[in-house]
Amino acid sequence: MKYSIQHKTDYHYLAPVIQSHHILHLSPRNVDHQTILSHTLDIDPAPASQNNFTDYNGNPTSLITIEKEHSDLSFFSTSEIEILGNTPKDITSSPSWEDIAQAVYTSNDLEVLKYSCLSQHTQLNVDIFQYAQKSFIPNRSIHEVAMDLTSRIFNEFQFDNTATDISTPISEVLRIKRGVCQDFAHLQIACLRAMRLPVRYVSGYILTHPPEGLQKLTGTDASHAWISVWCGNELGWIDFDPTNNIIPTNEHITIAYGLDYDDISPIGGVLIGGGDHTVSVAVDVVAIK
Amino acid sequence: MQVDPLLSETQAWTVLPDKYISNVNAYDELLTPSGEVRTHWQAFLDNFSRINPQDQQFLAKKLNRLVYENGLAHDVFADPDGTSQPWQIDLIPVIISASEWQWLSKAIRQRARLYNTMLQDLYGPQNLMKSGQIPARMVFSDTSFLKPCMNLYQDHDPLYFFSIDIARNSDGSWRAIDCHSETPAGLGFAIANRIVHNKVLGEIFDTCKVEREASFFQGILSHLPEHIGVSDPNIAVLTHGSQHGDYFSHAYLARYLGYRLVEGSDLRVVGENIFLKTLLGLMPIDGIIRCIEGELSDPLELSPSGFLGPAHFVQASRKNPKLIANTLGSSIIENRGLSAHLPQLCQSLLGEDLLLHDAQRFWLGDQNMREMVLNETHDYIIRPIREGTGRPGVADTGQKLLSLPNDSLQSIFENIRLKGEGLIAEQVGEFASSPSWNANGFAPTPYGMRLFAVRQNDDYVLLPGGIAMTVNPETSVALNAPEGLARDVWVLTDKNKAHQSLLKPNINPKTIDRNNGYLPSRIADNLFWLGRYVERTEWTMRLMRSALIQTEEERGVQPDVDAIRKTLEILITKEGTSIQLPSEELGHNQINELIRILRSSNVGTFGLKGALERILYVSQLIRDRLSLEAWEALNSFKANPLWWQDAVPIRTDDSIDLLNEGIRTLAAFSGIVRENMTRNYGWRFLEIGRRLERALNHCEVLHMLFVDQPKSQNETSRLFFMLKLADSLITYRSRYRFAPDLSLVLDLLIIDENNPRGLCFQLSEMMKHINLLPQSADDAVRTEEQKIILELNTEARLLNMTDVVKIENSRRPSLAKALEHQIQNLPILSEVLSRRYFSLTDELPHRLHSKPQAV
Repeated sequence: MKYSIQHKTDYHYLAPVIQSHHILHLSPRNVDHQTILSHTLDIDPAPASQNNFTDYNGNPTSLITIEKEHSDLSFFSTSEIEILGNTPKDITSSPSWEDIAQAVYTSNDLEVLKYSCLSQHTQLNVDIFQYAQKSFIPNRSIHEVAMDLTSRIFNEFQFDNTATDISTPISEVLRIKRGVCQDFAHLQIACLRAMRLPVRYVSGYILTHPPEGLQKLTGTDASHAWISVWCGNELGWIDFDPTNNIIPTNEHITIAYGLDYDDISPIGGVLIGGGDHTVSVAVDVVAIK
Repeated sequence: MQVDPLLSETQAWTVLPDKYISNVNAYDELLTPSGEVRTHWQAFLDNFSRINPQDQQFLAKKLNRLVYENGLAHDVFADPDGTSQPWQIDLIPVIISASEWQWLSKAIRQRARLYNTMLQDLYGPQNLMKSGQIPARMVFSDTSFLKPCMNLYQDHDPLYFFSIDIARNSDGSWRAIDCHSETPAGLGFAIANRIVHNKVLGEIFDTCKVEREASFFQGILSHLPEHIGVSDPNIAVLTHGSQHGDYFSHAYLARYLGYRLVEGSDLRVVGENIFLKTLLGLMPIDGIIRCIEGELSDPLELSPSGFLGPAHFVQASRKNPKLIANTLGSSIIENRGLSAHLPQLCQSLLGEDLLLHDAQRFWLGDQNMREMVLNETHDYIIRPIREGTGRPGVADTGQKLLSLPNDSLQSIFENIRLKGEGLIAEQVGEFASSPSWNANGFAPTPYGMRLFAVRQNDDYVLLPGGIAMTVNPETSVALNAPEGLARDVWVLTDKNKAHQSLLKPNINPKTIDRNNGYLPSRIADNLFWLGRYVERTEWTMRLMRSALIQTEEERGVQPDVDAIRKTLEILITKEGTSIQLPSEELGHNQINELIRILRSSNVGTFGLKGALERILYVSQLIRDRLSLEAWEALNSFKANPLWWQDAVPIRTDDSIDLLNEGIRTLAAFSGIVRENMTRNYGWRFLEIGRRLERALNHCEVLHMLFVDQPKSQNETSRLFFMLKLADSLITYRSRYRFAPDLSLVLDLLIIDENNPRGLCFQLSEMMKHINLLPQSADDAVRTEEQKIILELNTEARLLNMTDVVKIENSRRPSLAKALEHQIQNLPILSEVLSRRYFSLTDELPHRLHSKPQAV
């Protein structure tokens, strides 16, 4: 499956920004089942300096500085990506979660271990631990545990993009049972890391489908966040999407992996000036083959 | 210097009580178990016991007075409400023999080399984690492991400053209790301790063959440029700012080494290079001694809430990994969980046996350790895996499991289960004692100490000395000294005593910078406002005092109640709250009461309490730029509670006394500044601030009192009032032998350039300073601020007194016009100056986010 993706983010500042610095995770990475055919990133006004590199998690990263005074700033990313059909693995035979935990305890595989520790947005408390425990039935396979958590979050939590913001801790998300994809991903990650299991936060895009009988509108797709769980050496990493209660196959497009949102926030920045701002994001994911 | 003979030639007193030995619990530095004085203490003991007991008392007191006066006691500068750690110095040092020092030095240098190598691996190939020699999860779960700093550690030595806290076991061996690899961790305190202690016991110091510390710092001065890879570099010491508890130490270190002290907001990264924002523009910085937490030093790539360093700090390090000492991320090896792994790491990395071992510790990120601690009944102490930047003496005491009530115990257990990665368990360790001084002589007191090392010639060198601190071994496993009792550490030498001075280190003549044009914009900004606030406060006090003092003594003239009323109106308007001026005629008591309310107000810009708070705040922000005397003058306001209490009624006389005291204090500050402050740009901004404020207030009060024709035809008492307010009565009297006349008074208060309280004096002083500012031009193309001040000055000088005093419709229109012109333009001048010189500091940076939004 090939997709053409357009992702436009526009900031409008109420007061002029004198100078701004940004860190960007807008360029999609190569992953096993995904090939980047082309990618461009346009920034207006043009940065005075730009450094592109690969971060510790293997994600393409850009650091930019804009020296020109501005009240509007836009990032326009276009990509063509091929998803090689996430060949369904036989996940029913996955190891038990205890086996995975034990393997992690004795492992020296840094690529796995680095995702097993708690992070700023995945802090544990007793409530989260107890919430998680219900899914960790002895001898249950890691796949079943992860899918059970995915379904529970999908069923028990309500999608509400007014209930939380970037700084809402997951303890609060658990209390109000509301949030957005990022909150659900963080919560599920904390539940799994409570047992010291390796889980990645994934940022990316998802293809959306118009309601039956209606034409798809432009700009209605979205940036998205879900998780990826370590299921042992044989199965490797398997993605779960608690916002949609599914195991992603070929309609999720990965941009970056991290411990949590802070590692791979699409656009972060430090501004001098600017005052309040408004932001609008438009994403179009179009299947081209 | 003439020193009174301290040591008696003929007599010795007993300083070592018989019961000393019976109070020793573990190892004692002074006495052997059988009660004999260890040989390396003998010389000190002999000398010290020749000081008579009264002098001992006196010296102990003097020592702590010096601690206070030198600003070592944190309290000197601290927020009065802050709960800061006190700082005291014991009269008795801890004395280390030359042979013992040799071993310690070897062991600590080995540690530093080990950590340096570990850092290079952890931020490079990570073989130690891949081979399991260091548990990967210990590193990954530690927030001080900074992933963006990978690969900043190649081809140089990331650990420049290293310090270590050690304690002695009862068998005489040493153990390490904590190490510090993030910042110089109190090195400034160590120098200051030594300097102060030496002022008191210098005579004994000289006779005891003690190693001097100066060469260590000269070593830094001569080797740091090489470490950074730049000859004759511009080096800055990066501090949190004056609000931080360690600021003194940072400032002292910077001053001692002759480096600039800067804060994160003073720095800016442009195109991967780092600059200091100064009045002259951006000045390149070649090297930074980092006193701030790595994690909080780049809001872009590191913690989004950390603004202690500039955005792109990491990127600047990528470009030049030698830029920052220590390299960002260096504190990872402070993780206490590493203790158990050090012997093996030392073998595999250095091929040596580890000389100095850590206390036995269990990292609770390991499931077996968690089980052990949760199931055993040992009295473990549970502590976090790390401390902050390591002010000496404030280590976390941790929680002793068996002493906890059941519910706290359960919550700790829960914490261990859920977040054991951030915790370690250990058992109470032993602390040796060393004599400390009290009124009865010596007493054995448990201590721990911090020693310091720096990188030099492929190895490390130690500061021959350190900071010892009195600890409570019952509750402490680390350098925790809530009383802040510090002791100097004397290292004895076998060598012939070097006659090196511990005075200011040699400065390369090339680095002398007389005009100090590279003044950080932030400092200039704060000095400008300090000038304005001090003047504003003095002016407010003068207005209040004038209103209180009845003017009847002036040749029997009636007090001008209307003038008093108008003066109070100015204050009340500026204070800007709901204070009401009564409509009836003001009586003596009403005036006093109104002034009491105004004095204790902290709203608006002219409430006196608020004004004093602002002075103290701003002066704290730039305290290293003020002389100690100037600082103390301002700080003396803290000492008198009358300035800070709200509701206490106060008699008029007392009120006047208080205001007199305040005016005198501010005059003392101004005098000290005038006599002691270098005539650099900082001083000019302080002066411009003061002159601008005085000119503005002066115009406002003249406008209030003289534009409208007074109700009574006779303005004499008002003129007296004004002359006294402007402190110009004596001048007037010395010139004119008759009662005040309006045009003569206005001439004196506006046009006369020789009257330091007159308007033209302020304007021409300002003009002089503004014309000498770095961006001013002396040719035809003047800057905006030059044009404004020129216009204001010229206009005031050319005022025609005959016009000015003319009355039309019971008003003096040309006086009004002239004053209003000044009143409108002086604030504009202030803004223009701010925009040109301080604008880079105007707004703090803030974070921007985007969040995924999908359903």
